Amino acid sequence: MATPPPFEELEHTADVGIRVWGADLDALFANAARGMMALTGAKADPAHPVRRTLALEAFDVETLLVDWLSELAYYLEAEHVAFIAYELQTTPTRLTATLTGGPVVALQRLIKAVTYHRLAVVPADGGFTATIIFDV
Amino acid sequence: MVRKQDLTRINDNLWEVPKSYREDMRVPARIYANERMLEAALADQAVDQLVNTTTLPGVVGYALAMPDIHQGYGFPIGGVAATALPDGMISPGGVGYDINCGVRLLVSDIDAPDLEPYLNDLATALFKNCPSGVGQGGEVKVKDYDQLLHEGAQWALKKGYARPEDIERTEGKGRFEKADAGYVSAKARKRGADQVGTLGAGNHFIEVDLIEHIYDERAAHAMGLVQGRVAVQIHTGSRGFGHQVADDYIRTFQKAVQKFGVRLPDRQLVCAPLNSDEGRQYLGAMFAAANYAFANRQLLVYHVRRSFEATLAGRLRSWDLRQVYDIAHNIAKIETHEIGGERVKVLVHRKGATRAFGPGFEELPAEYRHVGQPVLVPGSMGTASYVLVGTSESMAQSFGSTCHGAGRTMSRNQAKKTVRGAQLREELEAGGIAVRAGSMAGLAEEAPVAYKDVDSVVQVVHEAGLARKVARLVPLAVMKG
Repeated sequence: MATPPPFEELEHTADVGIRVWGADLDALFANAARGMMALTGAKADPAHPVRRTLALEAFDVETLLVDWLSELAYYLEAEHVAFIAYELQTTPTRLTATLTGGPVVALQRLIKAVTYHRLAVVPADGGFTATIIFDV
Repeated sequence: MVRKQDLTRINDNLWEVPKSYREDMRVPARIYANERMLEAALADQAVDQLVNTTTLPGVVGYALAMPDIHQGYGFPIGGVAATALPDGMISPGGVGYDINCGVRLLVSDIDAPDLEPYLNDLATALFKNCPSGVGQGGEVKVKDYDQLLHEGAQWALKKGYARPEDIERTEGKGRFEKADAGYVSAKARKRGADQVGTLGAGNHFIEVDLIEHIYDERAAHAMGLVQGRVAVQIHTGSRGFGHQVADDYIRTFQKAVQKFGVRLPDRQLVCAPLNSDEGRQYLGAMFAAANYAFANRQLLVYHVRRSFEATLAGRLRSWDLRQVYDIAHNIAKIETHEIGGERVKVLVHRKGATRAFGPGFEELPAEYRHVGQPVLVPGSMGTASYVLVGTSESMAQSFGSTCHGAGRTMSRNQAKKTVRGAQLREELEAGGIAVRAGSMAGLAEEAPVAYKDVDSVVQVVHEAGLARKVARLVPLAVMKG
């Protein structure tokens, strides 16, 4: 059985979204981050690498996913840093991450917000899938 | 999903989803639309989202949708819902992520043909002086952030970026006194720190317009609108600051709904009682973001005036720009309305909807009090915009609310597949419109084909009595991020 693509773009009248799949929660969260960064068109300067660690807690897996992506969107807008590589340890309510990236050298759009619209993390194809809609 | 047969036709421009449609509805939902618009609105989840808003505890009267309704997050865009104080719900989804996104209109004594030789220079100056686009910071460095958050456009007046009459001619005089910066996160402050006085991207724009037609001479005279003259619209909001405030409280309220035992059909509709700690904190932070937006649009006015002077001084007899009005179309406000024969204090959520108070409203400057509140309805890029005026009927029907724009019909992706930015720019310029845009992809996303026809949207609210047509504007130059 072929596995689904890590992420694909969806249609939404006013905004944009992605459908994400991962073999486990770590992969799901990393693919969601890759999908969101692809939507922004952000490119990091490899000559000035930036590393950061992050720990998040939430009361359910959907909120954790929104919080995770919101952090990356915040770094992009407020600190002008694009994180493009992610080492994750994820449970349904807790996440620790080591992020690697660099100062933004190209950017097509910012993410206004990661929404809860149609958001659900569900088991699928031997892993997990989620649909995430962004307000842009 | 709501189907057409679930609705009752009240008249040609008004439809009702009865309370019996779903068990969890507390009040009926009403949609102002002609039949064609209604059918378009039923194509996605917009009407279901409207029905969802009728489940908010404390909701009164009707949940209402304006003809520019389209799918949003929690509330539909074009949605209006009022909840009764003291314990009715406040929902960040009823305000939106771009808190106090709004429109400002300026008017000049310049006859449009006189501007024509300088239009390209003016467009270039506006694009240069008014920071726009993704990640673009402003040139004004704010040292007294808290003052700005508490005073809004009145902060800009103290700093020399406004005239006293700009403040008089701004909704709520450009300031929410109950703003509380103490409830704003460090993240929101940082996200907005270098964005004061910037336009941003997306559907935000600055447009130089021709006042093409006057429908109501009396109201137009009061507002200083003269057919054939040049006007300017500014459409933007609270930038990353407001987005972060909304984001913070939508997260906080995920838990609040559990604490207060509120059952909701959509997590994006999360809410808290206005008289709870959570509700009061969001209200204070939301008003701080609204003040940020008022200050932001005021700084852009300063940049626009500077651009007019730099381009036109010595070339034309007059280059001055007077403010007509500034309105918020993503906001929640505490107001008193008559419901079932009683005066009731309510929190009115207007998400992609504009306040449209009628004649006699005390807050209005003296010159507008006899005609009603100006309402600014921008069309999609390259198409017409309208100036309307609020009515007494809107007070009776819609908590003094009307439409806010054209309303999307096509996704951003679909627009990009349908239209090429460079080609659109050529078409607009062939039509005599000067275009300055930071991104061709961004231009394509905002193509007129992706939006409803603003003439039809305005005709519905005009016929329904929610606002009356005063003037129609057409674009001469468009600046986008």
